[in-house]
Amino acid sequence: MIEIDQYYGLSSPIHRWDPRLKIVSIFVLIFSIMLLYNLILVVITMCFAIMLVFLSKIPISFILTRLKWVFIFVLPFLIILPFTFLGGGIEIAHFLGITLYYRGIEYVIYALMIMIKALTAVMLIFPMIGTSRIDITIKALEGLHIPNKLIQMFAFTYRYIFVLSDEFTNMERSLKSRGYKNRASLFSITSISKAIAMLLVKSYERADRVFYAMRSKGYTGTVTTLHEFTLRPQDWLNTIIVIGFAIFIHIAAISSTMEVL
Amino acid sequence: MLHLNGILPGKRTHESGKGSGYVEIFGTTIDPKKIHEMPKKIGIVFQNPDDMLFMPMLGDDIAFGPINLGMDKEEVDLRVKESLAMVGLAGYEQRVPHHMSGGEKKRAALATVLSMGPDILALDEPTANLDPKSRRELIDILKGLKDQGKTLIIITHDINAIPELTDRVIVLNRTVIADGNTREIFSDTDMLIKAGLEIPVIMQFFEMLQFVGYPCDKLPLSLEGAVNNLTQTIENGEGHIHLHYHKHTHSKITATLNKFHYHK
Repeated sequence: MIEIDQYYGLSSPIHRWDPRLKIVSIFVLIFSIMLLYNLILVVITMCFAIMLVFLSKIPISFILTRLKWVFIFVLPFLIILPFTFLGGGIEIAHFLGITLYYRGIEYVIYALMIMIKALTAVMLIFPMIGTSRIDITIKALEGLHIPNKLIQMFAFTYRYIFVLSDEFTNMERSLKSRGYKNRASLFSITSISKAIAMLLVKSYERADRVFYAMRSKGYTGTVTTLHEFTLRPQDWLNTIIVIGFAIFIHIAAISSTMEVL
Repeated sequence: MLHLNGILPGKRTHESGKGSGYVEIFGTTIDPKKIHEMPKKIGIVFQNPDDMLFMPMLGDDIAFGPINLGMDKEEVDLRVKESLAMVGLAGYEQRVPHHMSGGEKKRAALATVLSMGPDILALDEPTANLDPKSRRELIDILKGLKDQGKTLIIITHDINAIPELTDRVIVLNRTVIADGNTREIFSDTDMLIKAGLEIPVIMQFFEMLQFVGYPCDKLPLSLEGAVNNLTQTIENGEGHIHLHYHKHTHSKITATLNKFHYHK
């Protein structure tokens, strides 16, 4: 299975950045691009994000294969948003008594903006999470005083997703070894759905056992781990650059709307 | 097994109370409200190590118990190192559980409990699902713990491991069927066969040897015992063992073989 932190071993400014500040800064940057409504500034932020990705030395192909799914997900916006059946635009087609209208260039820009924002946000996840080991990231979240329950959920998801995927692979192999094939038949669908249901039952029972194991080890509701992070001037400099950019781009956005007024 | 540390509460909290049972450890009855204090006294090792290793990194898993017991950082670090060394996994702090082998996971699960320094260890099928080498390593670790004075409670079907590890054996099948020292239990073949168990192969073999004239009044339970027994017999016979065959030998051996078979 391919893991998001498989390139944690590389050496780059992003890798050397303190994980706590890295998470906060890039998170601010993600929010900042989400709140922008100006195509030029969105594109500039995307360039900044691409620069961060290049700096992190994570192979572009690794990121592109993952961005592909996001792209497929947001592509419908570009197709759907500029058109309407409700009237108020240029008529472009008639069929079955329905008229399709084109709503104008501003809607195309709007759709493009949604697409770029989504792609950039997902792209930024890679330098944020993919440049340190996942357990270090979890400890960083703990260091940031994120609610403990959330951290526990995150940690358990990460730990058990592999166990579950192994279990599912086993089940799939056992199905296949008895002649099962993925077909569009009712039998195929019922078999696979029963297998998935079994997986749910198994994970439910496992959750019980894990909880017992935790209680046997003195669990009272919070999980704490030992971690040590030291901050260097370079960490703060990186933070200032990224958060500074996020703020700057919003100042630019505000001043441009003022000019329009 | 979870009754042992109060996670599954007994029906009554002390001897005079109502209900069907209670558990007493070191003279105090387990109070379900004080479960978080139990790990100091008793550590439970589950059958499936994946249930016990729930943190993203092994070092955190082993530190989990000591941190919950409120120890300070140096103490926790020391205990993590110590308990990993005890199970032969020194230097595994940074390892990720899903990249470890089954035998390593079993030993790691044991280490997560050892780090809390319990006097009693309860293990559910410690040797199940292990290859012979890992099984041997685990048995040696458990022997070492026993020699250090820890009390081990082991639930197992691994008959051949029992003589090496135990002083007292309790046979359970819904209820207590037999309770005694290891030798007493293993001399009651009928009871063991009825419970779906068997006696160690070495013991079966020496019982057969008796029919060809091997002098042996105390059947050895393990390989070590067998070697001692053979040496002793050869010394007594001044360098020789005399085995012989007579007309009843064959029928006796057949009868004994039958004794070890399961009856439907």
